[in-house]
Amino acid sequence: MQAHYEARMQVAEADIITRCQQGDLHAFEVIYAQHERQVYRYAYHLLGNRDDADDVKQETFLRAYQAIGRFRRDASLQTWLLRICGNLCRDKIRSWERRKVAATDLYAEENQRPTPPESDPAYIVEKSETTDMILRTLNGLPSLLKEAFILHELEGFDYTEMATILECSSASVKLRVFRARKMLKERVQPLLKAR
Amino acid sequence: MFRKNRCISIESLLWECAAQTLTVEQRRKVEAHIAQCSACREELETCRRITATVTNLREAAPPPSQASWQELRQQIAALPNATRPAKRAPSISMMALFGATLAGACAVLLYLRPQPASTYSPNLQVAGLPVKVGVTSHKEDAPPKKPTPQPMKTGKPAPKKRAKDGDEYRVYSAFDKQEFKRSNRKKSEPMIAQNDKPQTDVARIDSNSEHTLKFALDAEVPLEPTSRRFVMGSVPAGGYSVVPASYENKELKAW
Repeated sequence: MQAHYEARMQVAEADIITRCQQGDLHAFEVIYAQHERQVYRYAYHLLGNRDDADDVKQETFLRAYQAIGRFRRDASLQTWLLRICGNLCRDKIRSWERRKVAATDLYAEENQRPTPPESDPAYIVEKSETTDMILRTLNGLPSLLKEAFILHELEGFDYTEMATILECSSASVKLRVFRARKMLKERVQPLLKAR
Repeated sequence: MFRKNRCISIESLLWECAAQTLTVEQRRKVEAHIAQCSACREELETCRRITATVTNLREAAPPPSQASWQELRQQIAALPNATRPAKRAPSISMMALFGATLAGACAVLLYLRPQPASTYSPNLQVAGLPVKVGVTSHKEDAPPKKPTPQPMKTGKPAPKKRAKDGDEYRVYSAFDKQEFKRSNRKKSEPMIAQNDKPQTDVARIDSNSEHTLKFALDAEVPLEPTSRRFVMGSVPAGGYSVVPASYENKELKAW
């Protein structure tokens, strides 16, 4: 049943891509509706703020529209879009580094959202602080490791899909995830001990 | 601080343990180890906290995006026509087009390339004795010819060239050839036999001549000897060898 559904979805996707390649803007609107949330979320996790994530999302789809005539269907549309998005995010992070702009606090808005009610207010505060500290540490990881960690842990991609998105081998992706986990653990552990 | 081997083997399982994706056996192994090792217990606790944070982050939706399809549509409308996808059915890829062009260029180059001098040596009989003949269309003093298109190979043998009027050949006795091979003569030295055997002569193809060597296969080439010493009747044992007059020493050696 699931396989049948997936096959039908693939046929539908292939049809939509063909229509897009023929210049059908309505077909591209369907692609936008299907993938914009994931592209935005990925950009948001990588960049850490809504405005930049919005910009990158729009730029991703604009570039996809311009390049869809050259899309060879070697990979799925989703991985192709995330690859474009990842490249744009990397460019943005590099431009920040060149201009030495301090990156905005990662997930600042996330932490401003109301936390779920818990019985113990002290527990809520501590949990919020711990989460904030872990997210800051994640934000401080080298961008290659951070990207691999987010794709694997947050977006739930397997190593093969990640290799397509990151344009490297599966072994390299595996190593990046391993290093990201290790580095994160080594940086978070002393901070937790200090509390 | 040095980690024990056992800790290192457990370390790779800590993340899976935190994510609760271990098998029962692996889980027991980890639990048995952390009951004794405080360092690994702390690491597992850190992994659990990070995993919990990541899980929360995964389940929580990010703040809503403010960019919409309408905005993107306006941006697309502002694009110049050249940057839009062409309104055509997808055709062959650029690589295929490039490959076809390259193959065509190679075919044209192969078709127009200059051909090297070609020779053939049909088995001849002169007065009942074998004669070796080498025929070529190449002449040293001839003006360079334009490369002529070669017929495509279709499995049939290529047609043999006919000798033309004006082509010159040297005629050697078999004895002379052996002598030539044995002696290391230079180009400047005259090709004269060391004994009384028939000497080397130059023959010019002339269709009006009465003297005719009948080529065994497809050509009937008349030879007019330029020297009196070339007499059709006096064929030495071993026969004659006829080679193009343009042959240099090196080519004669190879022959």
